[in-house]
Amino acid sequence: MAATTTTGATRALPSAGGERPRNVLTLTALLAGAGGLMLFGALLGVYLMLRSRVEPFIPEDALLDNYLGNMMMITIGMSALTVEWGYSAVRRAVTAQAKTAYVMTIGFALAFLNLLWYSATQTDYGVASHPYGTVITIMAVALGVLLAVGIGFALLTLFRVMGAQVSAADPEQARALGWYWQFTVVASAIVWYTVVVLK
Amino acid sequence: MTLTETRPEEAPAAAAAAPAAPTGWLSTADHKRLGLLYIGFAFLFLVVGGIAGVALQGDMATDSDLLGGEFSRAFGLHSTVTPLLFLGPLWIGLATYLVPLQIGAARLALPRLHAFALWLYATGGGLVIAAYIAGPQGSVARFPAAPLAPVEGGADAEVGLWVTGLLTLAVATFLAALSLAVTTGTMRTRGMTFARTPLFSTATLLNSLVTIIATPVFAAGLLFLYADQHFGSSFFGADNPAGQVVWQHTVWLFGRPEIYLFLLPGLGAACDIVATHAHKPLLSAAAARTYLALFAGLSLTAWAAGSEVADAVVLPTYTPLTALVAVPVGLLALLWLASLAKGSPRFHVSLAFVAGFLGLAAFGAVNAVVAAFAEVAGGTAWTTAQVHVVAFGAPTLLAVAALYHWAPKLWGRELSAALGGIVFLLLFGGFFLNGLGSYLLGYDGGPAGVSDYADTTQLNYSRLAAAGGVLVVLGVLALLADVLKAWAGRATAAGEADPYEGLTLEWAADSPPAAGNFDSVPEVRSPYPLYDLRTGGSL
Repeated sequence: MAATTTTGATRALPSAGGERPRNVLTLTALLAGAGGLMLFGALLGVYLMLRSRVEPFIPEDALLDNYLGNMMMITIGMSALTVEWGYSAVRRAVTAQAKTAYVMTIGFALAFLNLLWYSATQTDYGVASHPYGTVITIMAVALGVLLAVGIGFALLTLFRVMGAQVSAADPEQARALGWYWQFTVVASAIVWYTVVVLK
Repeated sequence: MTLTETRPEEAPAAAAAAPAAPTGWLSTADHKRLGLLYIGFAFLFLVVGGIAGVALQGDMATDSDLLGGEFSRAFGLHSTVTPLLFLGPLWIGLATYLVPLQIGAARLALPRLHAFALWLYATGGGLVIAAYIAGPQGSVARFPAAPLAPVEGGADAEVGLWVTGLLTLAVATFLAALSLAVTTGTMRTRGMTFARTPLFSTATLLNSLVTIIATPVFAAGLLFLYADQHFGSSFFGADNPAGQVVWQHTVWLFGRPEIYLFLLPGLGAACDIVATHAHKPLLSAAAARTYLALFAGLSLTAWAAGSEVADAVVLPTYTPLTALVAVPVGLLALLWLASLAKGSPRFHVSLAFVAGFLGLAAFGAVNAVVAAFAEVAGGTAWTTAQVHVVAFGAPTLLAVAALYHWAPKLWGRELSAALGGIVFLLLFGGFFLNGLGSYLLGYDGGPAGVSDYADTTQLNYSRLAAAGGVLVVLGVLALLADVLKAWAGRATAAGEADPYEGLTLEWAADSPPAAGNFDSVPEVRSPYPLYDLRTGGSL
């Protein structure tokens, strides 16, 4: 991308394209997060509809391990803290802390995905086995995709922190990542409470 | 002012003015080109859906079985393609072109994401049409009906295309809405608060927000359909008592706001059209904004219409909640009329289309009241009439009004007023006749979506509807001829920047706008900054 420098202080108002807009990433993350929550709202609606109409529910041969579900929630819950720590560190210009926080966030997210995969193999209750299996699998895949996008976003933020493109002077990407991540955590929490706790 | 980097979409004007190579259009992130591409694809898909519609009307209006066993396939193609691939994307295209101009911006906030959404839309639309063309008879359900039955051993290619195409379209619609909402939210020029945002842009923002809420619900239903077709699950099988209800809710929760969203941008556009040609601001832009927000809100509350969704999907009249949606439309109409009465209106053909919209909306409202007393049964041609008149015809007239009004910005010159008058007569007359025939057919108990009517009276009503359909097709062809003529002259066009003495910022840009849109943006102290400049004050 070419770098240019122009000077023009005589205009009454600047050209419309001259100023970099603020909060683009933050608003994008907020709206995308809201859309993601609607997706999970719809999936939960399907789950609750099944619960009210299918008997027995959950199917007798379905294995849903509370321990694994709770561990997943604790893991993603810790990542909610570390991602905010990263934003705070960026705002305070403590780059080392920011890098550490984002590495930990990515680590927690990978651990969550690993647990999600492990749980799916342990339950041995696939997408084609029963409508319950279909809805649980689709929820898990959607959550996995949401988190995979988040991991990509976090990696990008980490690299930009390392390259000083995300800094105390321009922390917007860190803020946007924080919002996206919190939406993902909320979606995970709703799924966990409904599917694991309430069963 | 210091710029530290140059984005591709902010390239110097000289470079942008160079002859447009096809690859330039394919890789463009410029909002003007993206908007024109959206509009172009929308009309391309309309031609496909329109051909299917003409074939259907021809079959229904004759004793012979013109389509043979292909009737249900043509029905599915027409009822899916025309609203989802034409009307919605046409509004997205207009908004993509006009919103940055109206808010004083040089570009979209997320231009590459928007370009991605455009090509996803084109791809998804192509997949859906390919599914209908390639599939054997009856292989693909028509859009609002029951879900596809699960299959053993994997889906047919055409079913796979259909589901994948709709999923792709859902993602494309979501991304485009996201881009437009973020653009309106973050790119407004200095001084332009939300309360000073032009009404078409306000309506686009509201439309985008509701789309962001509603589309994921539809995507969720499609995911289950995809799993049934490709992974051997049986979610929508007969042995799952919840499957059918889930699909109905999915289509309902997406479809209710979506139907109203075809109209919402048109209401905003009509506000700007009326104010511009009245040569005076609307009597109360704040009231108009409130009515638009009310309309958007009520379109979502239509979700709550009917506790028995299975019945509500097919009932011709809904509940008081859905009827309430008419209230903000009526209030806006009164506001437009009062503003014209208080202003110094000069006739423009776009005003005729706005009047035509009011006529069709009133026609639909009267029939809704009549149907409530006549106790029309569900599943009759009455529903077809209401869809054609209120959900499609009326918003289409507003979209055409927008094309005529903003033609100088889109193509550098005004469209032909004489041809515009003919287009109006053909479209308005066509939708009216088509609706009249179908309403009468419905009152007589004629079912919707069947190829033959044994009763002579019903056959005659069907012929009346078909005659209306032919007029609509002729109107679309005349419109396309007018637009193509203007498009052909676009390269050499250097139209008057502000042929109407416009009130909002887009009329401060060239016609068509150069790269970057504005050399400088006038100060914004009201919803009508150019009016302020001319009169020397703010409202």
